[in-house]
Amino acid sequence: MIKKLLLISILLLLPGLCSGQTYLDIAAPVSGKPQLVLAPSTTLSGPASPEVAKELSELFSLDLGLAGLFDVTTAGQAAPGAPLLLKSAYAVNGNSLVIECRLFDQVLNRELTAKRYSGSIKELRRMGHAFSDEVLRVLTGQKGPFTGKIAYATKVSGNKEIFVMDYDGFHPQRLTNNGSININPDFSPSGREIVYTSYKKGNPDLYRREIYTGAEARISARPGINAQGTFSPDGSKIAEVMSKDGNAEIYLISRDGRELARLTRTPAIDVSPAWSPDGKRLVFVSDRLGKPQLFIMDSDGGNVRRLTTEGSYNVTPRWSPKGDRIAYARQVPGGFQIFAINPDGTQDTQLTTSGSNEHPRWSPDGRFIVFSSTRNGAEAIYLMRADGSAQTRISRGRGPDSHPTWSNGW
Amino acid sequence: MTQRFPNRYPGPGGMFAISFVLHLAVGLLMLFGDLLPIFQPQEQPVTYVDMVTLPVASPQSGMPAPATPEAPRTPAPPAPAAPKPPPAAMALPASKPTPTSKGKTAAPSANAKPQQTAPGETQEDARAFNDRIAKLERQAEDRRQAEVMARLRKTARTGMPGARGTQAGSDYASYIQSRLKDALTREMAKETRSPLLIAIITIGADGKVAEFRVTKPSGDRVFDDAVTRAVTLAGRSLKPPPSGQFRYELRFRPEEVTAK
Repeated sequence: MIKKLLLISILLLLPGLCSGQTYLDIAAPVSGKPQLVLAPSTTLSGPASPEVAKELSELFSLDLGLAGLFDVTTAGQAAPGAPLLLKSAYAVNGNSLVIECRLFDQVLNRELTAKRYSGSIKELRRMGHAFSDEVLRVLTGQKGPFTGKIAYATKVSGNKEIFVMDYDGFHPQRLTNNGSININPDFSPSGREIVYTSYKKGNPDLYRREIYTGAEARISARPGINAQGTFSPDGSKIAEVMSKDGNAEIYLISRDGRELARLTRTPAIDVSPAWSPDGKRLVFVSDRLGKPQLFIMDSDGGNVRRLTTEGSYNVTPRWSPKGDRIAYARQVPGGFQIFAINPDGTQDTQLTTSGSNEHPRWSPDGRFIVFSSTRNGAEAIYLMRADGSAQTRISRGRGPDSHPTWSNGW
Repeated sequence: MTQRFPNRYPGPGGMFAISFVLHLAVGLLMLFGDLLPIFQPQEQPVTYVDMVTLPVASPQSGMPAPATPEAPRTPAPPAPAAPKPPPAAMALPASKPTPTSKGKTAAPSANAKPQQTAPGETQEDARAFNDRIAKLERQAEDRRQAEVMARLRKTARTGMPGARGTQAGSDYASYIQSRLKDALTREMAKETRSPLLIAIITIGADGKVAEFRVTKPSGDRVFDDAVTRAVTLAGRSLKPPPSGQFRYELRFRPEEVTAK
């Protein structure tokens, strides 16, 4: 009886097993990028302002061109039937400015998004970046990073001070002015606070500063090093390096500086902690095996495993916001180069080759990496796409600039 | 009333002896009377066939072609690696002509002419004549092969004869695949490495896209939108399906990605 049932079952299942689903495969080569056409900016009302129109056009070209998804062209150079069209219009009235931007899909014949921004004429670039963010949000589902700020350390005033600027290098603003050494800024998830290390009291201590108000607190001033503070993804904790117990180890502290946990406990030097986007793991640098290499541990300090196996000097890791890559700097003959590796240790890829390149940090959307480079002489801030393409200098001062970090959009 | 037979049974040994004698007699009779059947195994003649797969030039291939003066014989299958005839077959010997054996092909036939020359003709004239004949034959052969190749190149295409790739052929699925691939090539954009979108398309009897339903998005919105645009673009100029309505499940992906 059982055999009969088994036989019947096999006979019933056999057609289903044998008849695989058939698809019509539509496979097309990735030979180019669809065009995104920038229509000439026009006036909503009042007199025309060629400066505003030109700045808007250049800004959209830079932002959306860097995104790398589309071939951004102006209306005169567009091929017929270009799928995407960006139209912008403005109205200048004294110091006030109104910008209206619209994005169209010309194939599907529909408007994808439309935004109106109003404010001071000084906010022109911020408005433009906001619409670039919106374009990426509409087209990819993920907002762009262009309204984010980049904090960095610069010696432009003679001492290493912390500055912030737009992602494209415009509008640099000084944050610290204490005449000492200020390094390693890191933004809170909201982008409205930074932690940084300053020697202004003689010892390398960790400070937390609100960018808008300028309010500041020294949150870690233990004996020895208090450095490389980095906010957890939820902003509730800070991982930092302290040497109060002898050698450099990684600790967790609260936002107000209370020590929560010691994560590493080895005779070796453990530095440069960086959180995974889910906050469950940290990647860090340790010379416990002789040379500085990257290691990954759980956020309670357990389950430590080595990440990098190539290169004899790997430092300053940063976990991408998407969680799929870890960027770091490796010492090679002639200096440092930026590499990226999967968290499982695979696909260790070199991203830079020219000059010496250090301190990689991800943009908040994971599309770009900002870093410092000496490729053109003095150290300056550059950015590139996550795959290493489109390496572009964004420092506009004489520098030297280093230790960049990219905030979420304001 | 039982009838009893006389007791003449010779016993088993006797029966065996009688049987043996009878069989022997019959056998000898057949042997010497030529009555034995003759065993003649019928061997099939062994033939050898050179099989060459010819390119399918057109649906009319295989039909008798009109004879042309340039190619009176059936053209040999083209040899792409060596389109020219081997020099050894056509070239004359560099030394003075020597009598060749009868029954050979092209080269001997060229050599046969000097043997028919008048006795007063010099060896130099014979060599020049041979060279000229060989050159003419070589040119003729080159021309013939070039024409064959040109004819093959001209006709070696798939689809309907004379079609320009826009007509709906008997294989409507291939036609739709081609149109969608062209449109997707134009609109291709992606943000992730290997997006794969599965959708069902329904084309009405009027050739318009009646339904395009994505059953499994790729997770890459840029690619999904590119596919939507491609279907919209292709759908503007489709021929009606020959069977009234066409419905198929499609799988869109960039070309470098291997299908599952």
